[in-house]
Amino acid sequence: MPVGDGAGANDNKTKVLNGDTIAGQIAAFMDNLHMSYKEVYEELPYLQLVLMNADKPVVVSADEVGQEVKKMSGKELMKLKGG
Amino acid sequence: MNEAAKNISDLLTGNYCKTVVIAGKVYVMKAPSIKVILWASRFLSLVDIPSDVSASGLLKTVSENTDNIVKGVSYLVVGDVPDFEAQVKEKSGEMLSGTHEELYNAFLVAFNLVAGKDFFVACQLAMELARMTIKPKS
Repeated sequence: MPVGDGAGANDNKTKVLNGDTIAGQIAAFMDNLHMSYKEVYEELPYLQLVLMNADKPVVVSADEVGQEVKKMSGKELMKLKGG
Repeated sequence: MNEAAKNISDLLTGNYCKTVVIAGKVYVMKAPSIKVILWASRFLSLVDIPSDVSASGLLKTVSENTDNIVKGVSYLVVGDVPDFEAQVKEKSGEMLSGTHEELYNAFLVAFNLVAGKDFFVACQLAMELARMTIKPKS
């Protein structure tokens, strides 16, 4: 999945790897939500963690505002699908 | 109040739960922590239900995996309490007299509770639609 470098538009040079197991998810929750291992592992419900992580507010730069949703026509989608 | 607001308020206040009826008794499963999910997955991961199975085949699969389903669901019902092992043993014994349909239903409810179907069903549908339209690059 291409991600931006945090300083501007997506450059397609950086990617998110791993995070396929629950161990990786625990690490991601601890990191993103600034929680301890005990809080993530046994105190908060998993659903609440997922919801908090998914809905956490993020700061975007002025260049990125308005670029989050890229609208595409049906023709463009088919063109992309065709190659 | 709409359904989404109710679900989120219930989740944040610790009241979000699902109920199942097995052998005439009502069991309540609260939203589990990762610890409880891992306890339950020790048994639920052993249950393999093929996606293209018929109704009779489904009941056969459930009957072959009754012990694992009962133990997995028991862990989710009991949760993280000090004497969980004794309580799981007690609940498992009670649930064993349930029908295959009840156990299969409990298995699905447990799965949906862990996967958060109430919260992310719209996202899952959107993702499936996107995948139908365009195959993502691997």
